[in-house]
Amino acid sequence: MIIDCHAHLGWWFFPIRQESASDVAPIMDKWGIDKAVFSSVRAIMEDCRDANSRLADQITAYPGRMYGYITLNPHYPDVWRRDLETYAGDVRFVGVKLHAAWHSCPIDSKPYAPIFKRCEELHLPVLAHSYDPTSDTMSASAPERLANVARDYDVQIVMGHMGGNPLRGIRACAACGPNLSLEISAGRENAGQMYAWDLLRIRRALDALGPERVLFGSDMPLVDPAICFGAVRDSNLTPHEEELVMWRNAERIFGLSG
Amino acid sequence: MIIDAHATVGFSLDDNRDMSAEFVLSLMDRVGIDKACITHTQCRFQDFVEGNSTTARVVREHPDRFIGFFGVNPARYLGVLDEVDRCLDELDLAALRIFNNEASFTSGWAAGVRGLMHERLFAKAMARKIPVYLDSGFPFSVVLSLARTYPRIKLIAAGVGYGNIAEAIIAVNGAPNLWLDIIALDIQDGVELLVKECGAEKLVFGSGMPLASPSSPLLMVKMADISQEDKDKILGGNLAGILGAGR
Repeated sequence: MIIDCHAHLGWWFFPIRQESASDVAPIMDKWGIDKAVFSSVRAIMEDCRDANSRLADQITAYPGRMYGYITLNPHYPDVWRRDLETYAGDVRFVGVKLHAAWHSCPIDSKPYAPIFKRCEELHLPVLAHSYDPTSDTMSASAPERLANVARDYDVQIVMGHMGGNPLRGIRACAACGPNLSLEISAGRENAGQMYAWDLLRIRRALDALGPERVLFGSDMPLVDPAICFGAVRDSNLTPHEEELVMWRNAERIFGLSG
Repeated sequence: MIIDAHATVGFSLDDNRDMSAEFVLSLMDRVGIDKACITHTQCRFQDFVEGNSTTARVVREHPDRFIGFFGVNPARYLGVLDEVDRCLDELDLAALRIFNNEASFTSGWAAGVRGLMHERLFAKAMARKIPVYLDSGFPFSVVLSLARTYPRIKLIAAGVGYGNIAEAIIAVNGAPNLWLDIIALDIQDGVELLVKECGAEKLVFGSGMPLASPSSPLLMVKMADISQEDKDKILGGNLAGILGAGR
């Protein structure tokens, strides 16, 4: 069993042909990914008002295989409240996606507080984009900010891309309780930032945090799953670790056992 | 045969980790890489003469597994061009690797890969007819301009990924002496796209060992929907041709 907890549907401003659910399903087949949780690219990068409903329409054709994140933009409280209430009880949606960098709003700042509060009440897990804060924009999603949120709310939070800088992501996680976990996807570009695709990153996370707090994600179809399958292959996981990382942790956090 | 265009040995400055030749060999054995082109970390910011000598020693100890690339820091000025001759005439190293020192050296003094000392270095490389490997991080507009300025240098450029693949395609199609290393290629079906737009003949495989996972770029190629013949070219055939007989 393989569960990919970091996937997208939508149009990219890069030469990527796979946009729809039917485009991405063959990628899952190719790599043996049984289930994946998708967020809307449109909701992250453009108009959130109709994006989650578009995603719902897409994944409806793949019950039990494709699930959705409710992607929320903190600058539009009426929209996020509407979408959260609409989809929180929808079996197609299993969590919330937050992208503080694209939405230019620090993840631990006031506009996000009511979102986390409501997720706490609804017992909804959150996948939060996180990357090394090398610029003001990216610092909105810094690993340390996510740790602040994890300490403030009883919400299961998954830190996307291991924080971009795995050592910092691991440290931030270690400073919190078990409600903050790491997701392993990472692109390989950006020279000088090789730590994002560090050979040792998954092994170090497992050793520091235990296997219950590391989750497989690919970032497909932005990133080819080859990248993260390769990283897992080079990490020498024990069978127990592999079972937890590749699916059991995601199944537990996102309630995907059905 | 799988030949890796990009591996490094030496010392890790900012992270306590194993960068020994023995560790690189163990990774190669684990993932099935037959040969790797190595450079020593010392060629970036310390005595590159000593660093290149160390590279040559490691290659002599494992001639069937390693190919030596050499590096110099052009900012040193003293002895830079002489070191090119020494690396070729005495150490039998195969190619010049241009580290992206600008990525680490942030004082603003670094002149960039189009700086005046790099100009001398590239002129020397062209005169000596050696391939040049460019690390990730240089804009492909600059890479293309270098390839056109030095048309007799076989230039391999790393760094193509999802954000700059359009630039990389245009660059490699604009210069017959330019190849792309897929070390950082991460975009969905990126190998298929590059093969379609540029041809498998213009791609080489690099891993980034031991800092990066070698299996990621390996899987990008092995799982790509292209012919086995094209895979063989990317995974070693093209690089063998660039480096020439005896490597």
